[in-house]
Amino acid sequence: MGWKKILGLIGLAIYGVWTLGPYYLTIITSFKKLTDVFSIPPKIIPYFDFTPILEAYERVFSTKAAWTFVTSLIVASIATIIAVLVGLLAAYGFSRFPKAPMNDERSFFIQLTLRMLPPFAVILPIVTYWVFLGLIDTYFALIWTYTIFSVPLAIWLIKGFVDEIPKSVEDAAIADGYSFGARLRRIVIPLLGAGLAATVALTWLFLWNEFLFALKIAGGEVVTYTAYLPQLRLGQRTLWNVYAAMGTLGSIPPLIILIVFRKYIIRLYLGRR
Amino acid sequence: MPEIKLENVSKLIDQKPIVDNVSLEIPDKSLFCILGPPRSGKSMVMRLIAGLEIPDKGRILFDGEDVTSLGPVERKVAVAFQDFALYPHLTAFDNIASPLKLMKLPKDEIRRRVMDVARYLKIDHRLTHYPSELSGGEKQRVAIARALVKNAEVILLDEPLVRLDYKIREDMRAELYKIQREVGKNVILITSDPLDAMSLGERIAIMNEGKVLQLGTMEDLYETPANILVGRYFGVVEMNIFDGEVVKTNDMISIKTKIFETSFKNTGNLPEGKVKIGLRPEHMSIVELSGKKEINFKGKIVLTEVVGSDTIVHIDAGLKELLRVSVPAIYRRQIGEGIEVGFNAESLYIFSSEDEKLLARGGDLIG
Amino acid sequence: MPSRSKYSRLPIFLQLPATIIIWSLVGYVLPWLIFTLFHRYPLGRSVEFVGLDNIIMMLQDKRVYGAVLRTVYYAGLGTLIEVILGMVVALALVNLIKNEKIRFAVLMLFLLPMCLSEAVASIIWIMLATPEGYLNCFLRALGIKPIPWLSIQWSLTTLMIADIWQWTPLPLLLIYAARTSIPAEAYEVAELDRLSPWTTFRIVTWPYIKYAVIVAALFRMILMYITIDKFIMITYGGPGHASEVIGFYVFLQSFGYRNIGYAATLSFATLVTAAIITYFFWNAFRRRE
Repeated sequence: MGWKKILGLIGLAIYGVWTLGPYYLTIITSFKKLTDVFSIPPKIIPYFDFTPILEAYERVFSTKAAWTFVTSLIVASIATIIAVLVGLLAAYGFSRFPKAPMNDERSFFIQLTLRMLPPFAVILPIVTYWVFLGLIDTYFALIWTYTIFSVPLAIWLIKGFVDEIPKSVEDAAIADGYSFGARLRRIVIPLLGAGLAATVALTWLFLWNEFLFALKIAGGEVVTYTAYLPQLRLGQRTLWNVYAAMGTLGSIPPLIILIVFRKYIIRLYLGRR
Repeated sequence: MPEIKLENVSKLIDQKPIVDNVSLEIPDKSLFCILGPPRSGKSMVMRLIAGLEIPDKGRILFDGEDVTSLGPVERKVAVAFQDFALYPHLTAFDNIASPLKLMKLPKDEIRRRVMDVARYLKIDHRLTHYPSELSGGEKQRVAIARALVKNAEVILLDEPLVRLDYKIREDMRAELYKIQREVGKNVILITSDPLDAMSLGERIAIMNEGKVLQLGTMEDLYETPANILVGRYFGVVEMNIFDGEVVKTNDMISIKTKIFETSFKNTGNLPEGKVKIGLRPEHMSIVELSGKKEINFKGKIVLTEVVGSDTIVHIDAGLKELLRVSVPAIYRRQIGEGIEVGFNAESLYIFSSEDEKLLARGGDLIG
Repeated sequence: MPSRSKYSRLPIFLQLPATIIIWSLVGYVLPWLIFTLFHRYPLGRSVEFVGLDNIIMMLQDKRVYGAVLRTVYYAGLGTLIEVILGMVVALALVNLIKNEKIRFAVLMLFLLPMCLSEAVASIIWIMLATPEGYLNCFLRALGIKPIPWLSIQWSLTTLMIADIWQWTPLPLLLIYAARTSIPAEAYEVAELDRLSPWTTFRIVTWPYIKYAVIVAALFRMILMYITIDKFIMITYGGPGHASEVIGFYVFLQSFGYRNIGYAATLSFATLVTAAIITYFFWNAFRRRE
């Protein structure tokens, strides 16, 4: 191996440490005693530098902190299901009826532009909207808002997958006598298969990770784990291990999705753009 | 089994007519062929007959009844698609059974009918496989089986042979012919290969640019093509076209070209002036092999192409394009060698220079 | 697709649910913003129409200009570094690791940060950047003077570094995908011609990945402009105004100071800017397709 290659591999390794290091530190922090957290030199090897304990996690699970994860789960899941169902219909329209009104390119781009709107610019009107309806800080408000912002993404992803189904297969289905609904259920959805699953996963992930709306549209009665996090930061008196535990727990679903859908993440970027 | 009529049917996409004022009559229980180059509108005509598309103008009648607004199932039409259009997630059996399941037939009847058709098409041993595991020919048969199984009255075959290997194509042509005879239904074949039409079509419609150029039997299209396009397209090897001139004297009518001159008694009403002469490669013969004919001329060999058991000889006779001569033998000579070619006057096709329509055949002029 | 009549209504029905859902809120947002930016809502008193006063105030607001400058620094330099770093790593990955399975596994590891929530990434960086945090612990352990990561001089840069940490994987992934779609023959020709690595990059690699690089850059730039999660979590605009990017300033006006009219003005202005940038983005996108 030439020295250039060795240098390059070292560079990649450094990048790897840079990428995974901070995450690793966070995970081990969640297993530390509070006093062990920021020591000089830092204690980074479990069982060697420090004894891992579950104190932080016990704290999390004995307070309402644990319930914030449940809230996130509920909100993300319901919004995802609605967004994907609605998005499936619209995506089908965009794919198969590109000349029909409301299905053309222009409408498609308008929808996509909505995704690019800054949340900080629209959050004020949205909050006043929900206050006006008396629904601020309710499950409904957050789920509904989440659904609205997830639909364009779902449409964009699903449309690409619908495009891949040959139109002649659907023609054959029509000639065989399938009604539209039956065609969608028995032919289109099965053929969308994993693409649909990947869309669901990606949409859900964005909602699980979402912060700003959760903080401002809800945050009092309805608290997602992301909205709960600022409450844990108490300057010098922050319980760092609990802080880290919350972060670690919140990072588990993204990790699972990354592992399960790794092939699709590549496909989405390789095929589409 | 119905007689199908298209009355002034037009279909536009983005304001452009894909099917332009087409009127067709397809007799019942026949093997009808719609032939045309790509983008001629033939696939759209098929979709209109099938009920997959609705015409923008005109009507479609089955046995006199207006079916324009009915779907494929109500019209009792079955389609076998060009790319087979099999459901990838279902087995061959389920693919064929699909229309029957939608008709809500009892399970054992479905099974019986599927097995019957599968046996008839010799795919009964492959029914448990998925489309991705089948060969092109097998997929084709599954597609046809799916079309046959529901006892439709009209069966549309959209370029059924185009995705098959050359060798299999010949076998399938024979099979399709046999199927139509035995099944006794109205079979409409859409193709861009003149060979398909020539071996299968009882009646043929040639289309180009959305319009029907000519409708007739194989003889009609072969012997009296409506224009140069039909003449060139509908042939085993493409017809030769070159310039010529018609000169009339009192009792003689002469046809002059760069390579030959011939005269007839002035019988027809052929106008004077420039014309285009058509001569089929298979109507010419090589003097060396078959002796001289009525009209002979000389040229130089540019290329010999052996196709099957025939040879196509490309000759430079001093015309703008090379002439193609087709002989039913293996004929090999050196490039640049001289060759003498002959044909009989009755083989001539005389087309108008202006609108390219057929004016006369050599046989008409002989009288 | 067949339509029973020429004008089948199915396509419209397909779009209705999505359209109704989206516009049930969006249809309120835009008119509200436009209405509100011409008004003020002083506490205790009733709404008053102020015409263009809010807009004038925005144009004269020095804080806006400061915020814009900070945004340009944060989003501009941040995107530049993310794209270049992502490209370098993507190309290194392809050139140095030939085993596809290992390469894929390494790529997956590299993608981790961008799968996390911005909030979780913020936690991670708070624990690194806080004065008693890990970064300074490491520095002290090595005998180096600790850096005030969250001070006035450093906070914006620290936030940029945090974003680089989290989002470099996106350009990395896009460029990696583009790079792996280059046929091997293109490189064989370069080898035959004995081209230098730089020339090979310029002539073979770059034309293929150029599009991915542009898309990645535009994408990241818009997203860095739009996303203020880290700002809310880590610095809250401070210390002082040191990390007050325009997005955060809008947020502050909306929820901190409660100048609803002015906040609406700022919101609308940022919306228009985002729409313009997005328009250019889609034009570049469409030209390719």
